[in-house]
Amino acid sequence: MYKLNLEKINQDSPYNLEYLKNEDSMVFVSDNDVEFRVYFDREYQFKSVEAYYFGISNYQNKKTPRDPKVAKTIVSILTNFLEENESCVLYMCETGDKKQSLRARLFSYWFSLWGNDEQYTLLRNSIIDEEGIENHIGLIVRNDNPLYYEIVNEFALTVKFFREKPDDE
Amino acid sequence: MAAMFNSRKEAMAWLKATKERKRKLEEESQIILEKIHNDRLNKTAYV
Repeated sequence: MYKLNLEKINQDSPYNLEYLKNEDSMVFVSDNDVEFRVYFDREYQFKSVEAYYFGISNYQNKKTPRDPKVAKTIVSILTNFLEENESCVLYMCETGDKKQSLRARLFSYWFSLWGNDEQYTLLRNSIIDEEGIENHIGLIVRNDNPLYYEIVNEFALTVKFFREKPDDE
Repeated sequence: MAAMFNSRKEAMAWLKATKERKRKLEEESQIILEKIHNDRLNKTAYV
């Protein structure tokens, strides 16, 4: 199970985060009255280290006008997660509305604003599923993670499988 | 060197399962957020 220091996150985060009762995820409310849930979900298939998917949901997928406080809150959670855990974070952008490319770019932009390049690596790539849908996935890892190279290589090898032609099987 | 899979077939199956898991988590989130949203509305109504 991962650790998070909610007190520390709330010192850095513009929005106040609260744990849900079972402490498996957090919620916050933006100035535009949009409720957000943030969670980490274990990816057992990843071998190098404990890896977790990071997810963000907003109530009824309401459109949120450009709100830098949401971005800063999300990055505060992620950086705290990586400070408290010797893990890596994976993410996969929602594809339902076909705006996955936009989401992937926006998330990278958020992380470039508040995530320190000297401390973290963010790798992103796109993989095509059986239905021909482009899926944007990403990896975030601390640069001083003792298993940094294993983690980055595992991510790269994973992406490589999706580049193979079906005939290669 | 470790990889998450041994074949493209396994990779595709993983992607399908991961997207389904993500869909269920999103459904779960909407239920949780709806309750929070309604609790907030009720609180505001009684202030």
